[in-house]
Amino acid sequence: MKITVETPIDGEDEIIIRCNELDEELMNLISTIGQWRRRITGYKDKAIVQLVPADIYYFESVDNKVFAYCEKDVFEVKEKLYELESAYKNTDFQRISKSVIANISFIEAVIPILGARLEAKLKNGERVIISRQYVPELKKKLGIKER
Amino acid sequence: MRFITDLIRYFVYITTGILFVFIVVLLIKGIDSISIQKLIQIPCAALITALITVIFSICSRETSTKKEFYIGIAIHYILLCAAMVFFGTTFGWVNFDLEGVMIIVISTAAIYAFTFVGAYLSSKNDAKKLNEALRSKREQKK
Repeated sequence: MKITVETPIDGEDEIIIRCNELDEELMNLISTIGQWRRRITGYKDKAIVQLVPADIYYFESVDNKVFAYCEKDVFEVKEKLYELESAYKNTDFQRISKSVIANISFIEAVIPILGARLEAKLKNGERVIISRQYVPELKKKLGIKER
Repeated sequence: MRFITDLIRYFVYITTGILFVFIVVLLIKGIDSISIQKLIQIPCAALITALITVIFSICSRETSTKKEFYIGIAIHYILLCAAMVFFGTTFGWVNFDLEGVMIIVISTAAIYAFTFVGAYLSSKNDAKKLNEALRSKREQKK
């Protein structure tokens, strides 16, 4: 597939897809673009902020509330964790434990810890636990083939 | 599927651990043979303790604090000791007295440490694969 990126003379950014057949792969790509551009409403104190998914490091569910962790700030979001997991399944977001969905593009390194568990070190220095249960899915997302 | 692969993995570790303990005890006592019954009993005990370990690891997957983690290890170790004392006395490996129980407690600690290291090395291997994949993903983006 040929990919061409052009700078528009005027007007807003636009993505045009020219194809002979709109297959499943292309549909996933279109869906991903749509999901990645969708904003999430975040709440902090009395402020309401439109969050760009690509800026969110991870979502965490704590006491029936879901929080979006950005580089420095934390915002409450109204979506449930399973809704976010479903909405961003074709993006870099991946469930890594029962209570956390992480943006894998912000994972700097994966570190083994005691108890056969793994820990993800994020680019902002934070660390989140990766449950063994979710390791196969994470591997799949990263294109690692299991024997 | 994960349950089965984990069960097989722990079964192999624990069987190896028990066999190693048997070899050490036989060498110390100067015994140069092992009965066929014991060779059947060892995998049976290993299978049950592997099952306890897998169920326990499922139950403690979401522990996040160090305190929870260490409490989990203590409970798991006590459960394994209880199971091994049961198998040890039932199969006639040891007598149900202080010496017998002490042998089981020390042996279980040795097998636990062996299994713990095995599981850690497996995680280390997973971490290596994930880090390589993350690195190649980053390079693709550049």
